This record gives sequence, structure tokens and C-alpha cells, in this order.
Amino acid sequence: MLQPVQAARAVAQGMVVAIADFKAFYTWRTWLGAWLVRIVCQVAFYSMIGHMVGDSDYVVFVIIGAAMMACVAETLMTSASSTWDRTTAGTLPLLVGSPVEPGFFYFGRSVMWPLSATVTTSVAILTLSFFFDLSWTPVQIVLLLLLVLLASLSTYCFALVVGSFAMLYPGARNVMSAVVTVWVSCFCGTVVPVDFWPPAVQWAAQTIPMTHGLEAVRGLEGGAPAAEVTVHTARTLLSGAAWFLLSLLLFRRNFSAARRGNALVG
Amino acid sequence: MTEHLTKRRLTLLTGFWTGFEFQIVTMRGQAETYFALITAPFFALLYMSIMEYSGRSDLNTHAVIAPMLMTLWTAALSFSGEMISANRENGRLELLLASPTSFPMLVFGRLCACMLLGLPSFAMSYVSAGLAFGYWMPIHHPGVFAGALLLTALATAAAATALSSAFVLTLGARIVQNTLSFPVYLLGGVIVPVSLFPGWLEGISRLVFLSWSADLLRASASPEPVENAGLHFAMLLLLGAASLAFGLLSIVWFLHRARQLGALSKE
Repeated sequence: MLQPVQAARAVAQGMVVAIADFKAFYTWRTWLGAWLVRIVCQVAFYSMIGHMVGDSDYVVFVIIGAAMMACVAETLMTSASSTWDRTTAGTLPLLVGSPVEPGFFYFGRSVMWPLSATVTTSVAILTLSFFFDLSWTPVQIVLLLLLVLLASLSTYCFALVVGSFAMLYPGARNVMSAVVTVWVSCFCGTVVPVDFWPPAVQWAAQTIPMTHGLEAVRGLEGGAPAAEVTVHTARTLLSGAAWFLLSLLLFRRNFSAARRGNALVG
Repeated sequence: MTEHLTKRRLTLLTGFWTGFEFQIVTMRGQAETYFALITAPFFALLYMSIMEYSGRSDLNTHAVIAPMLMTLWTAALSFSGEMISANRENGRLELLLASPTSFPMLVFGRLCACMLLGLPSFAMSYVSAGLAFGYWMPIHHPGVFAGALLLTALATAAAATALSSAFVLTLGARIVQNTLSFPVYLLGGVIVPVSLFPGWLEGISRLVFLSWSADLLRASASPEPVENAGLHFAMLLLLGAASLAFGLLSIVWFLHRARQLGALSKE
């Protein structure tokens, strides 16, 4: 039975790699001047569509949806970073040989994406709010940051499941993340309500944390009762936890197979 | 003199066709091919859902055309990223330069072949909109549509040639690949016509060739006569030619510099 201290240590060890990778990936200049600008442009792109086709309420709906869509895209970069130990760094055999619990290690290993996504998504929402006369009180801004963080982390748990499959098929890592991102963007209520789609799609969308995270943020913006926002947040966390448990099992399965000598570390 | 010019033209053409054929064979096994293609039907559904939900089915054409333009640009970013550096890393660059073909034209030829992905992406976008929403986009001016598509593909390949040299000269490919997508979709007016932008932003957007392409392609699906078609084609041609000239000269400059530094086979 894994002790909490061991689990925390595995996460912390993964985070060491995450920080090093993030520093190698971005400098402050490229993160601020390139990546953040790209995310703001992405939200502006969808906001302009909303402005072209709908009224001001619909523009607000799209600003929040598009920003959360960008959050999903950034968090899904976990699909690529879950393969780097195998493809780029070549450290996967060492990890497989170590007594680490892989699911917890990989939770720390790509955590830079949801944290970065929290900042980029929040900045994008607030920037576009300025251009489209959407106002937030200071308390709402604090709660917005918190809700975006929780939605990012819950989406990250879902992304870890994608990452566990990408580890097996590293050549398809970008295709997997692109398909999942655009699927979530399409069907989870980012630009049209979930009930626009057929019932089977609506049901599938309920399993995705971002569906509920979006409801929570929209509730906050629209002044919904606190209880309603809390329920949506709880659903976000609950679905995130379920995906996290699944990722623990899948990463453990990958490592077990590798220890038995399959091609993963060959 | 005439013989020299003929030989030079032959070298350029050989480079182009060799690159074109090589890329067609290579692309089949490359993940970038599927990465560029796979999102087109989903984007079509996404944009069609916006139009249908907001009751603006008169703008369905925008929703079907945008994913194709996005695929072309995604392919440009994906394939140009490591086109020169991969040749450098695997030691092929020196052999290519020793051969009598034009290396810059070889790169352009390869990137032109990548633009063939525009056709299946349009087909997927078209069929997705048709099957899911019953919207089968009419093309009222097929000549304008085909001409705009061809010139857009060439201009995108030209822009990708310029990018490929920029990647190897100064910039980190991955950062640019991740960054240059949505700013270009926005400024290129792939779904929202740039004529709806504020004046200053429209001015900037008109420097992006996609803004002329998107206007032409959308107009070709409308029953009304295409307004200012000549101007649009001319601007598309001009911006594409400028990108190509910049790209080819940048590659020549890079090769010259790498030769001076003895760095042809180094990363």
C-alpha cells in the first residue's frame, strides 16, 4: 500500500522534471511575448466570431468558452510531455527500474501545463472582457482564478489518461492531443450549450471536467447563487478525480508491461 | 548565355519536382500529415454549430471554408519547422548541395506538395457540414474557387518556405509552430471577414495573404458576381511572390553563411 509521503515524494520528483522542462521550453520572453499572445489571439478569434453572429450575451458566452478551450489545449500538451522520457530524454528505462509509483510521478511531471494554462486562460478572459465591456469585481476575479485553477487541474487529470496512451504510441502524441482538444471544444459547451448536441454526446460530455468547469465560471460571471457554482465545481473535481484514478491504473499497467520486457523500454 | 539560362531553369525545375515527389512519398508515413488533417471535420462541426445555434445559417459558407484554410496553415507550420534542420542533422544537406539541383526550390517543392492536404481537408469539412447539418455548400463560381485555392496553396507554401529558413536561422521552431496559428487565423480573416475589423486592424490584416484568399473563396460560393476579383487575385499573387522571394533568398543566405562557418552538417 502506497503511503501518502511516498506519493507526495513521487509527485515532487516529477515536478523537478516539469520545472526543468518548462524552463527549457520557454523563457519569460517567449512565454509572455509568444505563447500568451497566441492564447489571447485564440480567444479574440472566437470572440470576433461571436460578435459577428450574435448579441453581447453570446459574445460573453464565447469569451469564457474560448478561453477555457485554450486551457484544454495547453493542458493537453501533457500528451507530448508524457512521452519525452521515452523519446527525447531516454530516461524511461531508469524510471521503470526505480521503485516509483508511476501515476504519481507523472502527475508531477507535466504539472507545468495546467499551472501555465491557469494564468493564460485567466489573462485571456480578463483581457477580452476589457474589449467587450464585461466587468468583474475584485472578489469575482479572485474566484475566477480559483475556478480556472481547479478546472485546469481536473482537465489535467483527464489529460494524464491521454498521456498514458501517448506513452505507448509516441508518434501519435500530437494527433491524440489535437483530436481530444477539438472534441472537447466541440461538444463540451465552449461555444454552444451542451444540449445543442444529441443525447449520447451530451452524456459523454458530462464525463469531461471542463464541461462542469465552464458551468462554474459562467455561473460566477452571471451572478448565479453560490450553491449552484459550488455544485458545478464539485462535479469538476469529482470527474477530475475519477480520471486521475484511471491514469494511476494506466501508468501502472504501462510500467508493469515494461518491467515484463515489452517494447516500451526497448 | 542562352544555354546557361536554360540550364539554370532546368536546375530550378528539377529541384522543385524532386522535392514535390519526395514529399508526397514521405508524407504518407509522417504524423504531421494526420495532425494537419484530423482536426478539419471537427472544426467544421464547431463552426457550423455556432452558425446554426445563433441562427446565422447565411454564414455557413464561412464555417466550411475556414477549416481548409486552417489546415493549409497548420501544415505549413508543421512541415516547415524541421525541413532544413532535419536535412542538416541526418547529413543529407551536404549531398543535396553537391547535386546539380536547386536546394531552395527543393524546399519550396516539398512544401507545395504538403499543400495537397488542402483538398482532403476541404472534402472532410464539406462532408461533415453536409452529414451533420444538411448543408452542402454550393460553389457558384467554380473558376474563382479553383483559382483562389491554387494561388492560396502556392502562397502558403511560399510563406512556409520563408518560415523554414527563419526556423533554422534564428527562431526556435517549436515555439513558433505553437504560436503562429491563431494570430494568423485571426488576421487572415479565415472565418470573420477582415472588412468587419476596425480600420487599423483591417489595414494590418490586408498584409496577410489569407485575408484575400478567404474573401475570394467565400465569394465563389455566393450566387452574386465576385466583386474586385482581379484585385484579390493580384494581391494574393503579390503577397505570395514576396514571401517566396524572401524565403528563397533567406535559404541562399543561410547556406552561404553555413558554408563560411563550416556548419552545413552541424546543428
